[in-house]
Amino acid sequence: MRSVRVGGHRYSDPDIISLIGSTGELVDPISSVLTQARRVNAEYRQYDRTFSDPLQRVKIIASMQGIKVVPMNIEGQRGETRDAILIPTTSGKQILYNPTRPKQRVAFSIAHEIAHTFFPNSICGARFRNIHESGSREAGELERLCHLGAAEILMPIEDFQDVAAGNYGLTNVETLATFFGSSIEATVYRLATAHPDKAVAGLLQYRTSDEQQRLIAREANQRSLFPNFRHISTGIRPKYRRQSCHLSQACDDTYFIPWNKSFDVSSSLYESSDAKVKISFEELPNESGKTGRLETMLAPFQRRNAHNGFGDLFFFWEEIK
Amino acid sequence: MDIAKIDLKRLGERVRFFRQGKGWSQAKLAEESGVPKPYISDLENGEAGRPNIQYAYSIAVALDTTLDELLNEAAPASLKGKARKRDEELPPGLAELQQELGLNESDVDMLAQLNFRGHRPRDKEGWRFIWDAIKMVVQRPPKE
Repeated sequence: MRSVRVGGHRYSDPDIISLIGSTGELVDPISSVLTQARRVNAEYRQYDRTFSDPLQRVKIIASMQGIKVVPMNIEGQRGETRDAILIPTTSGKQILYNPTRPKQRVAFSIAHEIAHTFFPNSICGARFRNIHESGSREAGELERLCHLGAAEILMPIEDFQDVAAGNYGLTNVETLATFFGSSIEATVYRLATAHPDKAVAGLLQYRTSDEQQRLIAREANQRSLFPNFRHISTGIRPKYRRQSCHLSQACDDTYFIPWNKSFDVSSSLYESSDAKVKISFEELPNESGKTGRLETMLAPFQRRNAHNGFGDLFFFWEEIK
Repeated sequence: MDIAKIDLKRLGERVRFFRQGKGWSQAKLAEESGVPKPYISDLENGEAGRPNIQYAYSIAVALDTTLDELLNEAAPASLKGKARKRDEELPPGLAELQQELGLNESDVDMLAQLNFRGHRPRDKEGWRFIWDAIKMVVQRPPKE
């Protein structure tokens, strides 16, 4: 299968590859999706600078892009599990959404489907995602990019900064997510990307590193053959390691936390066992020596492989001037 | 869709064109869209000023069209603009399916532009699969 590396990521999804090659030069799909999302927001802002109902706003944005948004016929589509789907029609494009889902979720799903139309090779925007392997790596690549586009459409940076009014912190996330019709996760990351100064946000998972996992697996095999084998892996303990990392525009590369980097076990974030926000002052776990205010909270939706006792955490860090 | 480039007279004409296409009076459009009749009258006469996007959207939904088609001076961004030329050959298998199911030209045009994960179906059964999938998701959604 053909794959292309650009912007530090490798892509193999045909729609993404078509976007990468759409201008004759290599296009970074992340940057392209964000640019297109900002373009549709800018078009909307020409007509309306207020931000009232996120669902109505995203429907209007879709309509401005030539996409009709209509509710699904739930009676006729029993077993339909998707929140929204983009389909081609003889007169253009249409997003069908599930009207029984919460309004906030519907807004995010419609924005996600709009982002699918940013890819030139996706049959005028529509992909028959119901008939391809939804768990495949390719599908994941495309869906992640569309999530990114959806977050940008739902939370325009100017509006987000206005509404946050300087209150950048996890305690404000629920209010902001409700206001913008976005998910908690996307809003946490937006706290960093919209922050006017230096800030970092992301997800942490309590786990061992990939290398440690391989060592443990290898030694488990040895144990059955050689009972007296001296196990190096015995002392290995999981830690909170970086899963995702989002930086504010003011941050340079020294603020980036590479994959697998972990917070030391002495960090107070290991005490975050509920939705309450824990606050401490800590260094970024990347040997940069940068110290700031760290907030952590248990993620409301835990991933399938999350640890039972130490669940997935959101973190938000901002540099103290 | 640059707001500065919108020709208000042309916008009014388009709204009137779509409304008359449905055989509706301004009062009927006002009732269907929830937009005050005086605004519709001003809009159609190019005298409503900078379009109120909430009203324009409600009118577009009532007229079963999009803001893109109402506001954009360019040709509607629909699949019609990219329709297959009559003398263009259909992809393999599609003509057979058209004949078997008696599909109309616009449906065939729409199918002819599709590809699935960068590829097109190569035979009749491949096209049937796509056609059935489309039919399944488009089962008469209720009007908003």
